[in-house]
Order: sequence, then C-alpha cells, then structure tokens
Amino acid sequence: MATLPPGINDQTFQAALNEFRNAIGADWVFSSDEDVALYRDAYNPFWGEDERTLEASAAVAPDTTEEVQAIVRIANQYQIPLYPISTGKNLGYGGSSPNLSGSVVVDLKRMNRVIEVSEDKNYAIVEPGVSYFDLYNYIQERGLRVWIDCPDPGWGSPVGNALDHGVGYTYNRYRDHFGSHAGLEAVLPNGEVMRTGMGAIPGGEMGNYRYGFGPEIDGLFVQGNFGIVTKMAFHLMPEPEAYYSGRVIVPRRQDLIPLVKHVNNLEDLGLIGQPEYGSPAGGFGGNNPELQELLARPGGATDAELDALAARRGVGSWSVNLQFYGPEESVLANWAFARRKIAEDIEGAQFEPGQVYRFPMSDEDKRTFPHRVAIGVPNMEIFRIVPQDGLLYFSALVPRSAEAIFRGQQVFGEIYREMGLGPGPNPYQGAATWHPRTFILINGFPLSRTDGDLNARVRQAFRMCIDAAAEEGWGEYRAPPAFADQIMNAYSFNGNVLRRFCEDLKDSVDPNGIMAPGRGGIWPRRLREEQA
Amino acid sequence: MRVKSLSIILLASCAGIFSTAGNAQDQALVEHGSQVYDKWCRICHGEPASPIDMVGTQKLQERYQGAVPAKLEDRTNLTPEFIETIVRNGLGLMPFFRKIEVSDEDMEALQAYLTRNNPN
Ligand SMILES: Cc1cc2nc3c(=O)[nH]c(=O)nc-3n(C[C@H](O)[C@H](O)[C@H](O)COP(=O)(O)OP(=O)(O)OC[C@H]3O[C@@H](n4cnc5c(N)ncnc54)[C@H](O)[C@@H]3O)c2cc1C
Ligand code: HEC
Repeated sequence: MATLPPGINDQTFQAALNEFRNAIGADWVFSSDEDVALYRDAYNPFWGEDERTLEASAAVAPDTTEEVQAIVRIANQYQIPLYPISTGKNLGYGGSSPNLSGSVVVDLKRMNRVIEVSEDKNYAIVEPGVSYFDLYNYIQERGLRVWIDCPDPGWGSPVGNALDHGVGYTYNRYRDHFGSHAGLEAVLPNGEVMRTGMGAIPGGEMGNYRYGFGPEIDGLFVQGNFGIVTKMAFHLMPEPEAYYSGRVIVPRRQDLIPLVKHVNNLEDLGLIGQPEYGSPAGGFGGNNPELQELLARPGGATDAELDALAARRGVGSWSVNLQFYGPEESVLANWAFARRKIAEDIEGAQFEPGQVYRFPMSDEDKRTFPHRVAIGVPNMEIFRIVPQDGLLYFSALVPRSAEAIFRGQQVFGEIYREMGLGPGPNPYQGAATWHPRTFILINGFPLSRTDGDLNARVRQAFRMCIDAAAEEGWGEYRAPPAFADQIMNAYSFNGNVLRRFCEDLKDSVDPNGIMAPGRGGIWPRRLREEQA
Repeated sequence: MRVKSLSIILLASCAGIFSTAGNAQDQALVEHGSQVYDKWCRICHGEPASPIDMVGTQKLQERYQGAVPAKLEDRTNLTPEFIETIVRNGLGLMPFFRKIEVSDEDMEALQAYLTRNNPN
C-alpha cells in the first residue's frame, strides 16, 4: 500500500493518478510500491528503523515544460503535494526523496536536452535532466572550446546541483554553480511558465544577463518551493591555454592563520581556482601512533606538542594546493606571486612546484589527470571516500578564517566523542573552499543499512551539530530533508522573519501548498497549521 | 563520443564471438545492454585510471581478491536475478537505480550483456 499524501484518500489519489496518466502517458507514471521505493534516499538516515520515513506516493516523469504545467494543474485540482528532482542524485543531502511523505516526485530526468552551448558568448542552456556527463559529452562531440565546472560526482545535473547551492572546482565565478547561472525558466505553482533575466523579454537571450529589470527572484527557486525549474542558463569558462597547480606547506599549526589570509587574497583577486587545504601531519599521516597517543590524552594536545611532533616527523602541519588557469605566462607569474607573498610572511613555508598542463588535452591525458574535476572533466572517483553504506553530510558555513576552523574542530569533535562516533575532526581538519566566499566545515557521518542504532546516533549527533553551530553564529548551506526545519529555525534573526517572509510569499503564490512542502524549512499554511 | 562508439563496436564484436545463441535479436539486446552499462555502470565499474578511480572495480577487487574478475563486464558468474537485485536495492555505497534511469527493458538488456559470456 502506497504512502498517501496527507489528507488524501485512496480514491482521490487514484483519480489524480489517472489524470496524470492522461496528461503524460501511463508509462511515465510510477505508482507500484516497487517503483516508488526507488525514490527513497539511498543514503538513508532511517535505514534499519522506519524505512518508509520520507517516502513518495508516486512519481511522474514529464518530457516537456507543457507536461510539467499539466502536472502542476492536476496537483492543484487534487491538492497533491509535488516534489521536483532533476537527476535526483543528491546523495548525502537527501537523494531523490521528498521533504514530505506522500509527495508525488516530479522526476525531470527525461527532460535531458541541451538547448544551446555558445562558444562565442560562453554559456550553456540546459534542461534539468541533463547531467554533467551529458553536457561535457555534448561539448566534446562538437569540439567546442568551453569548460564546464563540475562537482565531484559527474552524474548530477547542472540544474539540480545549482538549485541546492552546489559547487565545483575552478575559478570562483564558475564554481558557485547558482552564482554562475544566467537566467531560468520555471513552472509556477499555479501552472504558469515564467522566465527570468533577459529570457523575460520575448526574443531575449536567456544566457545573456541574469538580473534583467526589477527584483531578482531566481533565488526563490533554490532550496525553495516556489516552482519547478525547466531550463537554466549557465556561464562557461572558455578553455584556458594552461593549468598549473603548486603546493604550499607550512610547518606549524598556527601558521594556518596567515596562510588562510593569503589564500583568501589570492582567491579574491581572482588569481586562483579552488584552493584545497590539507594536512601532511593530520591527513594520511594522521595514523601515526605518536600523534594518536597525543590526541587521545584527556584534554588533547597543545600546539607546541603537535608542532614538536610534526617537526620530528619532518612533516608540515598544513598544505594548500593552489590552482591557476589562463595563459602559461600568467599562471606561472601568479604562482610566483603567491610564493613571494607567503614566503615573506610565514617562516619555513615550502613550495612544491607542479607542472604546466596545456589545452586542448588528449582524452588519454585527461583520463589519467590527477583531479579531473579541476579541469572540468566529470567522473565518479569521489565515491571512494564514501563509507560502506553511505553517509550524511553535515556542512556548516563558517567565516573564512583559521580561527573558525580551530573552533569547529573543538565544537564538532566534542559531539562525535559524546555520541560515540569515533574521534571525529582532529586538530588538522581543514575547511572546504568550494564556495569562494565562505568556508564549509563538512563532516560525513557514516550510515548503516542494518544498524538502526548507529543511524539514530548519527541523527542525534547531526541535530546537536546544528544547535552547536547556531550557538557560534553558524548555519548549514544544504542538508537532508529530515533536518531542514531545524536548520531554517536557526536562521532566526528578528523572530525568524526570514522564514516568515518566505511563508507569506508561499501562501500567496501557492495557496494550495502543492509545491515541495517543507523544502528549505518552508511549509504552506495548511501544513503549518497541522503542525502547530 | 569517438571513444565511446569504438568501445561499443569492440564489445559488440566480443558478444559476437562468445554468444552462444548468436542470433540477431540477442545481439541487439546485448548491444543495448552495453549502452546501458556505458551510461550507468562503467562510470564506477570501468577500468581504473589510477588506484583511487572506479570505486566499483576497486571494491570488488578488495572483496574477491582476484578470485573473480574485478570488472563486472569480465565476470562469467553473474546471474540475471543477482544483477537485478543489486541494481534495484543497491549494495553498500552503490545506490539503487530508478526506472527512469534503468527501465525494465534496459534491465533485460543489461542482464543479457553481463551474462553474455557465462558458460551454459
Ligand atoms: C561522495 C559525494 C561527493 C559529493 N561532492 C559534491 C560536490 O563536489 N559538489 C556538490 O555540489 N555536491 C556534491 N555532492 C552532493 C550531490 O551529490 C551533488 O550536489 C549532486 O549534483 C546533487 O544531485 P543532482 O544534481 O542530481 O540534483 P537533484 O537531486 O536533482 O536536485 C537537488 C534538489 O534540488 C531541488 N531541485 C532539483 N531540480 C529542481 C527543479 N528542476 N526545480 C526545482 N527544484 C529542483 C530539489 O529540492 C532536489 O531535491 C556529493 C555527494 C557525495 C555522496
Ligand atoms: C557509484 C558507483 C557505482 C555505480 C554507478 C554502480 N555501481 Fe555497482 N557497485 C559499486 C560498488 C562500490 C560495489 C561494491 C559494493 C560492496 O561490496 O560494498 C558494487 C557492486 C555491484 C555488484 C555486486 C557484485 C558482487 O559480486 O558482489 C553488482 C552486480 C553491481 N555493482 C552492478 C552494477 C550495475 C549493473 C550498475 C549500473 C546499472 C552499477 N553496478 C553501477 C559501485 C557502483
């Protein structure tokens, strides 16, 4: 028996399904238990317990914007909640599961047309079902000299990824994926189609300029529930002549403070792509028994002890890989500039040169390139870091400073230990820099398909992390649906006016509350009242 | 795409050599299966470019230690039922696939492709 939408009886539900079938064809309406179960989150924090938590009632797979409109109209008529996904690969952040059990998932995978790639103006317009692999192949097949900026997993969608504030690896103006969009088309909760930016002018060029005139409302479609995006334009980087990556290593733990300052400057000057922080002492060298012993001591280790140990082992405390794109002369000059600034300021800093890679590059050279996403080549290598049965990502936004990193290690480390989830972040855990203007402290909590107790502890730890972060003035940038409300509630300035404003908008544009109820912690009136 | 179509030709010709039935319909099914495999499976079960690449191939190498080939495509002991169970339930970090990704027809083709070299 399917999980029904709240307040809907089976008869009404069956009638709605029949309408969906009439509108888009019976083959594209999935309603058997077996088919619907495939929309659960594959990295499910409820495995081994209530596996039907956050389960869809059915799924519909439209092929065109008109079919999306028809679905939305039927949903209004029958008060059926919808939940749109593009490629539905949001693993670690909810997979393809809705925020509200009983929602009908609108699976946009069939809408997989690349509408345009412009090599002169460096943009692409795509439908939601286009994956990074698809867009990359499209560009390669036509020999176009533009790069995509992709996240680690290549099977996601530029649209779906951008709509969850997803991120990648090259220059800052491309790797903030929503930030690099240039306008969109969406089906509104009443079934109308709207275009933003220059697409709002009949005959206008969608990839041209995202602001158009008047308030910019594209952000409402991100982690929101104001419509189903059916097309999106993205700016692309022209293929650079060269890529260069050099590594900086600094000796002491506190050297991270000036290192971050310099790298922030390089980033904000537009000289580098994603800087990748690591730690020779704590990274793969972290299994060192002496280090483990120091860290296991009550109260942990002092910086002086850690530095002495790192010095004895002959390893640096921190490293950062700097990536440069552009003309060969400039990438080398920018690397020289980075070296000079850091060497002047941080005693004992070391610099490991890399090699210049030139483009176009052969397929074989791309295949064996060390970190392919850094040059816009999608792949699935990252899944090597996923623990046995998947994970749940806790991703806190913190200021771009070493102090925030150190504080985060302490705050989240305590929660790991309290919840018996292992040592957690050690004093060498760095920050993720995918978003160019913020650090993200990310912890991947392991899940189990069979050990419900582990999952319950992980969920509790996750909730504790949200609260602990909020106390520091931090919040999360995306999260699995089960945690959306708590996260939104932490953004509570002035009596949660942010959420309340979104609710006012929601009630006005989606009076039946059919569009992704609960997404982003925003509920339509009818369900808010039920919860109250 | 050039690389892709080449590999399809190669795979299709292997199927021709090994397939026991070998009629045109079976061959078309196997060929379709190799395309499904290309899109949804080879991205994790292909030939690793480095020791950190191709998590499916690496994990199966760790698990079986060479007792069976690490690449699914080279296996001769997979059964259609086993393939379907794994693709629809997932295994470890491998997520399950929706029907919009791997349809029932795709599944049949995938099964034909991955069992094409099985002994009778
Ligand atoms: C090991 C690992 C590594 C990862 N690395 C990265 C990384 O480097 N960068 C990164 O960004 N992410 C990363 N992720 C997270 C995730 O896998 C990607 O962000 C992925 O691209 C998201 O899935 P998707 O593109 O299929 O989006 P979807 O799952 O299709 O969409 C995500 C959400 O956006 C909304 N949405 C989608 N489409 C629409 C639409 N058309 N209209 C309205 N709303 C919509 C829905 O709420 C949906 O749930 C990683 C995950 C794992 C497990
Ligand atoms: C995200 C990477 C990924 C993708 C994509 C993927 N797999 Fe897997 N697969 C794995 C991993 C990892 C394992 C090993 C899991 C384990 O043992 O924990 C695995 C295991 C399997 C097994 C079990 C083999 C055995 O002997 O135990 C089968 C069968 C399988 N995959 C089939 C497929 C098929 C068919 C596809 C495409 C439809 C596919 N996989 C796509 C990662 C992947």
